[in-house]
Amino acid sequence: MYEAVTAEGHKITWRDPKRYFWIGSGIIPLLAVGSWLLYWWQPHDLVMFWGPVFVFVVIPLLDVLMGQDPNNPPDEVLEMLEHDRYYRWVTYLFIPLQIVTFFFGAYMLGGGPLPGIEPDSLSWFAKLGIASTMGMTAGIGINTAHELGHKKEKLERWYARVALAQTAYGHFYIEHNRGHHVRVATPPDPASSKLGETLLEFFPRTVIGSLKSAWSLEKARLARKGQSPWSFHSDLINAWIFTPILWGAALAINAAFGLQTWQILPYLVIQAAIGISLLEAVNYLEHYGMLRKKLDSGRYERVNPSHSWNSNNIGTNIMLYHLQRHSDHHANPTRRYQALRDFPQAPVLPTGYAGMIVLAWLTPVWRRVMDKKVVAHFNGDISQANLHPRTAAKYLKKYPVPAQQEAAA
Amino acid sequence: MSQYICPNCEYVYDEAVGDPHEGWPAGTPFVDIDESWTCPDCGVREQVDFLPIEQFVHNDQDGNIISAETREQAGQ
Repeated sequence: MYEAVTAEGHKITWRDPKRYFWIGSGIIPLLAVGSWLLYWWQPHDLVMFWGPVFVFVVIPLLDVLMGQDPNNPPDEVLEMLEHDRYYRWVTYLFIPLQIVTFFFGAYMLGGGPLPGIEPDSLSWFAKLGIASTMGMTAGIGINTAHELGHKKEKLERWYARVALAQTAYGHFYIEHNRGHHVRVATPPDPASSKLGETLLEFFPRTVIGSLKSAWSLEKARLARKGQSPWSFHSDLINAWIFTPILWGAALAINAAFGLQTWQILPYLVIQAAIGISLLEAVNYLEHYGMLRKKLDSGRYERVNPSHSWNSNNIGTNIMLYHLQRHSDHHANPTRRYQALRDFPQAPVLPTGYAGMIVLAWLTPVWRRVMDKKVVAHFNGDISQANLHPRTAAKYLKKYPVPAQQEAAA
Repeated sequence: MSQYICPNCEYVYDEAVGDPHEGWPAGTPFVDIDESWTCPDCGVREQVDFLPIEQFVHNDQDGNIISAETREQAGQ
């Protein structure tokens, strides 16, 4: 409960309806434990795929069942809410859980025995299921790193690097903050998807483009200091280094138990790739088709709430620390998750991010649903959208620029 | 030696201290910093958007964006 006094002198109280729900995000790192428990109960290879089922079926269902929470904290309590350390501990909790269950997953992949699992008894298919479940934790771990990496406290930025170790995506912390946030909703941003761009087209553009951009950003910073990009001064290298440490520790633990070690590496690579694809699918839907205007000054307009897709669905919001209040996040990137607000004028997705990822994989369905929304967002004038060069002509033909606006221009 | 503040996240660039991590050693005048240098904390404002700290009243997290262009417009 927060109490404050408004400018007019009225005393107000406000209670955060999601306060205790945030702990629910702790279920994400425990998904691999869930796979094991399900297998103990029903020893079938398919139950090892519990992670993707949770993310792509259970969370979207929760979004439908729990509905929306458009509740915004009043401006007067924002400061207090931001400084309430409880919310930080919720995000800090994720990381030790993520590390321990990563070791747990590696132990299962290495043939470790558990109640309900005989030593070396799992098939490659069951192990693929475990890797896919670990991948869900890994991908959502990037989101936890995202929340922490935006903060001003040095310690939180180090936690972000740790949370990125599982996916070997250490450069995300640099590229996202200093690359994506700077260029969001502009054609040069590799992590902003364009109208008419498919998810599969977007993947290589964002993965390779973001890596290149991170390297050049860090190289430019280090050059100003007269330092080499190939040193521990590099915030890329001192983030990437956590991956061999984490993965190496997992193999060392397996060795200590007399289990398989290097043999599990393909599965670790698979879980990282799945985690990255989960994160990049979210990137795909966050800014689909959005475009900032170029100003007379030669710069793009500063990012505002109209440049991101939002959702107030409670299920996904809890699992992703309000990531779906994306407009406020981009307008004010250092704001903590609990204080992010919903803007009624910002573009809204038909359901939560989890359900929208499923749609993003089904290109024709995605186009049917989202292209219309982009067209409506620009009042029918898609020449204002971030068009993909490959499909721009087709789109402009299908959605001609309204004559009135054409005459005015 | 002057101080300049990011109008969004309130990061302060103090010329006396510089920002060595960013490659601006202590004593680097703010005018010598690249115009396209982005705020190291929020990333959504650039050198040209920063305000001398004396001119700063409140940040623009209420949605009324403060930037080089909006200031120029208000001045006209």
